[in-house]
Amino acid sequence: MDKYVCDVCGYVYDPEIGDPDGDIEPGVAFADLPEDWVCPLCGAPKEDFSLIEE
Amino acid sequence: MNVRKISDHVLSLGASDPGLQYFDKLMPTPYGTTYNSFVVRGEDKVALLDPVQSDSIHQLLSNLAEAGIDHIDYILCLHTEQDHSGATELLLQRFPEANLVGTAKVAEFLEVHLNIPASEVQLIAENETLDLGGLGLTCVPIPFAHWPDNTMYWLEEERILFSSDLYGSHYAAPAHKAADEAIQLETTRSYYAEIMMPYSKQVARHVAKTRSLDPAIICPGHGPIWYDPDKVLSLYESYVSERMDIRVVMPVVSMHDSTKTMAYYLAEKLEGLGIPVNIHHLDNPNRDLRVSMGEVVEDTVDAACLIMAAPTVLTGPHPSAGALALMLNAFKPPLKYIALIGSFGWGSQIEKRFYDLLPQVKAERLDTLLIKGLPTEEDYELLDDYAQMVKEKLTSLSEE
Repeated sequence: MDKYVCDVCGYVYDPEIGDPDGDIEPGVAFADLPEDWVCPLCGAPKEDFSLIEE
Repeated sequence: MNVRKISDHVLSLGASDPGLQYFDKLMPTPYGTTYNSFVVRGEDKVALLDPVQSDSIHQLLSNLAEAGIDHIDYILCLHTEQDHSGATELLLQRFPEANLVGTAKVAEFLEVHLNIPASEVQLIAENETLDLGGLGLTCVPIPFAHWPDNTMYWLEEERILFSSDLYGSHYAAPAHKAADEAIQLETTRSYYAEIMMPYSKQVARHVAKTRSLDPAIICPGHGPIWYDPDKVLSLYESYVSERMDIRVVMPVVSMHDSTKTMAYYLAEKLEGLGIPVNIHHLDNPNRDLRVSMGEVVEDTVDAACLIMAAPTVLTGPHPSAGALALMLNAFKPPLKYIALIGSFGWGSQIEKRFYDLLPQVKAERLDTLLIKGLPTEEDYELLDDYAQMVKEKLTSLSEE
């Protein structure tokens, strides 16, 4: 599954890890994150994330 | 000394710091700065927007006394960076009846930066209005302009926008006369470069939001008030746009003149091809490096290309060029192209070491041109070709 990087702080959302602090289980694709999910490091909204081209 | 009436209900009474030389010990502030603070008086309640930095509390208290403000109901914190919030506790000591008001992010950060318990902050949510009686302040968060906590407040009844750091400038205009507009525009540009440019994507959204509010007056956290907001909104719209000027920014550092010889020759060739070049010396012994680096960063707000001219020192970039690279990586200028030229003595890994410092600058990297020692006839031909290549790259942009 695709990883996404936060344009603001560089945090990488990896679906294989999820976001434990935000109660996101491993296996959740970026597109399936709740719309009000924000970057756990800096609080940027989903729209400030970019797809990491592998 | 410094109380100004903005409308029937709004006063400006912040602190002035005309002698400040560098903001954050980094950004040159040749015109000093101000830490703005405003009072809004409704029929029932009095609100103060933004305490100032702790060193400036006496100016704020003296201005409040001069304005006859002896009671405050709400102290609104728009941004918790210490230049705006540092005097919060001192202000609360003078006005113990006041409630501290902020967003959840402001409350979180007040605890982090000033050790004020978040539980002591009266929370306000996006689009919520703090009623002052006949007037209200509506909360408009503007995350990443330039911290996660920045918040604007909108006084709809008078169409006055309190914009926090957005639309600010480091310019302490004399108290007895109007701000000089040329200086206000110049310092707005450098302020944008150093504070807002890293978040141009987020700032673009906040500018669109501001347009939709259509304010009559904008009161920023630093510098003079905007009585004609279209001026600053148009500037910001040009800064956040995709369009870049066909121009080369050329920072130069040279130890024994070989790199400088290359840089001057290339600049002359480019100018001959119709491409404007701004040379910035990073090696002027009479200037603090921060002044030159600040000018480079400001020049990259709307320039399409940057060519770094730097010699190799101990196989890497000259540390002055390295410092500039760290600056560029932090401020993320919207350059289309970036390039590196320079002279080396016996061996160089400058290209890798330089670009390793620039992971966040997404500009296309043009070929690096390194010359051993002083340029020869053949090297000058390489520089001729290089100028032609840069010209073609830049011209292709205007054809897009």
